[in-house]
Amino acid sequence: MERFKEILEDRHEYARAWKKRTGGKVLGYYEPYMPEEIVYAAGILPVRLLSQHEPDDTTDRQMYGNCACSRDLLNQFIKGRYDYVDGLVNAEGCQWMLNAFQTTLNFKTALFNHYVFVPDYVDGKTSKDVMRSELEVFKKALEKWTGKAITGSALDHAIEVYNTNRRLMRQVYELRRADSPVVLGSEAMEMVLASQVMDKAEMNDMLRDAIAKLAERKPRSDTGVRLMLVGSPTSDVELEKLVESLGANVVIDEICTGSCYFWNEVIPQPDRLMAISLRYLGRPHCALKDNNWRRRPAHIYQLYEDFQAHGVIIAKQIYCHPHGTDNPLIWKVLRERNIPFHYFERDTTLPYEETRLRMEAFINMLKPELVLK
Amino acid sequence: MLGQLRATLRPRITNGLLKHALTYQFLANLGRFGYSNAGRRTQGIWLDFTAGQLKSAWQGESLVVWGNAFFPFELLYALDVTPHRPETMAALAAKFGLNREAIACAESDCYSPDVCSFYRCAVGLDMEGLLPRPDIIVATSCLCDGAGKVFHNLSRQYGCDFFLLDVPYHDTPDARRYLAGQLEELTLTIAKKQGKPFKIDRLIEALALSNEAREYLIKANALRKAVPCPLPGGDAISYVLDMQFFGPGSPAGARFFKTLYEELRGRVDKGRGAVLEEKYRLLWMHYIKPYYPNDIFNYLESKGASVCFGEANHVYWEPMDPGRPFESLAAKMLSNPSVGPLERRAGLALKLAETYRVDGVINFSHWGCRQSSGGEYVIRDVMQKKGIPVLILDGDGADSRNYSKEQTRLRLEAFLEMLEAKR
Repeated sequence: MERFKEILEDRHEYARAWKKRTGGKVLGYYEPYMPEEIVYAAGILPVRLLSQHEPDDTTDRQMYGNCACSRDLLNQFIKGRYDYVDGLVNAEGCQWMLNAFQTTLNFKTALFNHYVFVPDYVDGKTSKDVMRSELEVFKKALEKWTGKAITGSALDHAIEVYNTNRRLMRQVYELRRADSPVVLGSEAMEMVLASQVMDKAEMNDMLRDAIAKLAERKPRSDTGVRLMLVGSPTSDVELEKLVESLGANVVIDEICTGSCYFWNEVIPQPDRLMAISLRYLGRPHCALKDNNWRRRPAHIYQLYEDFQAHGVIIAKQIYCHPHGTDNPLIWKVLRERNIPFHYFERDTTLPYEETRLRMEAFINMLKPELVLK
Repeated sequence: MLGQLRATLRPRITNGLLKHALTYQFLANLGRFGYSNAGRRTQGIWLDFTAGQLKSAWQGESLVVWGNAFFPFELLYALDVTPHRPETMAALAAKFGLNREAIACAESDCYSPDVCSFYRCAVGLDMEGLLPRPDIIVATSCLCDGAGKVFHNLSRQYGCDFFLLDVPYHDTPDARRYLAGQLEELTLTIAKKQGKPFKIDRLIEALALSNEAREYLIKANALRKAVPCPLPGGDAISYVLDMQFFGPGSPAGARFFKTLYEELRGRVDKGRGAVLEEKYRLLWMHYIKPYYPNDIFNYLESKGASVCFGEANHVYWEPMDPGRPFESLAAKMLSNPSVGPLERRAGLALKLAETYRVDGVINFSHWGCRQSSGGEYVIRDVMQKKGIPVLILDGDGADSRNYSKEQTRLRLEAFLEMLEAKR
């Protein structure tokens, strides 16, 4: 388990080493709708750009008022931490990430770059065709960039590697359903975050090994309060660890960098790009794309029930517009179903004592319910 | 005791008045006659137009359709529904001091303070019962991330239909087809709800009116190159912009821009400007300005600085082809320079700065505006390479709690001093 943590913490070193070892290109991407399979099939390492949660001293001039995550991505580029990235892709998501993408390209002009339009109305009648045609354009752009055709068999292989990764991550998450889970929320989150910056084939080997080891672990005797984490994407496990230090455990999450990243698979079909399109449009919706049908509340409720959570933490990144405008509905639905929840806004860094106090109060509030159950 | 009574009665009276169709009948008449007689015909047309729509919406004369600023209202006029504009209501609430209470209401209903204040204000006004009940709500996905979600939240509250127009990033033939298909589908759906067949002739007529408005807006914009500039910058980003968003396709829209052109023509011919002695010409970047009482424009004008143009007033779209109405509307939406790569907007900013021979640019940085704030320094860099100074002015369009008169004045003062030193 330690290896996932190390890779996550040293993700820049990991990518540099991968590049040196393979001679391949690295493509940084911003949003969860980026079709990684196509990139992987082109022999490129797709790396999700994850923020660092450190005080930002460079980007206020460039991206004033943007969320800390998007600003930090620019901050890291300015500081040269992403010097190994050869190209940038933004698959349409929120405006902040678009700003980070555009502002970074303003001074990193030599980078390959591409914008993948992803319909905001993902359930629309023609959305899948639009997405497919976007993927076709993206595929051609990658082929031009690398000078190599992306073959059907390469796409099949990439789909299989990614689907395997999704299945393995689901296996890890399934372990968390148990009354006494053998895996902590922070450990599971480290795995899923690491998988977004790693070569998936290597990650799959590590996951198989980790799952085998988890089977030998003894369940915890004190199961504690079971929590669900909902909200803006995160790139660290500070909150999970804090909760664990208070005798509780995050047993499930519904965030873009967590379970939503791997929850559904590509269902193979002869038209590979259509298969990939359907996978991305059908993934658990991010707050921004959850339009018209608003599937998020039902999905959140389903996870809450399946993983027998006792309460929900809604953690919104300050300035996160998609969640800021989606939360009123989430609150309403949780209230209607009498699901206890605690809402808080997080910034660049987690104010430890303040957050601890709030979490402690929430967890204590849930304990009498456990007794009554 | 008297104060308490006043405090209790005042909101009730205000709310009562704001919900009454007769109020709007009175305001429409005021616009039609009062303003025209006072030589402010464009403002009169706007008031008549706005109040008339509100009256119709409160009386439920036809289906009430709420839409956001980037939605093509031509469609709604072709369908003979009653359009309603919550963003305009938010700006008006700010103007008349109803914003703070409305925003507080929205914040009490889980809307985070970092959500755009126009949407918070609109949600709050709705919670206070100050917006007419919608039958359908429509929104676009472009520019304002918040529009779709906030409008959808409101539609759920009312249990009414909601449609999101999904606007692609790149302006390509495929993108136009995709958007045109959505527009057509939406039109037929609304017509079905009305229970009457959609008449394409009505849409053709609306496009013709929209084209007419466009022609006059182009002519009016050309007159703003004159020194002194004939149109006050504050007016250009308030009622003129409101008509630009919501008027095209209606007879009032065409009449408004024709009148605007005539008024400006008259002022140019007489050498009259918004500022008596125009020392500095400025370009305003952003679609909005603060709508609550503030002294930004008054201060600038008192120092001889004229906001002679704003990106919001630029006519970026081609005339629409009545033979291909849905494709034309799609093309109009996709040609917005703020949709798509930032270079489009930056390029436009530079072109406008040169066309209107400005001395400097004020980029208004509206708190919570996602589409604008990330790109403002890129635009500043582009301008600075050409020697055009840029002031990034932080502020808020609808939430007066984020306005500090002295701080704002200090920044404007420093900017003008810099312009002076540069002469």
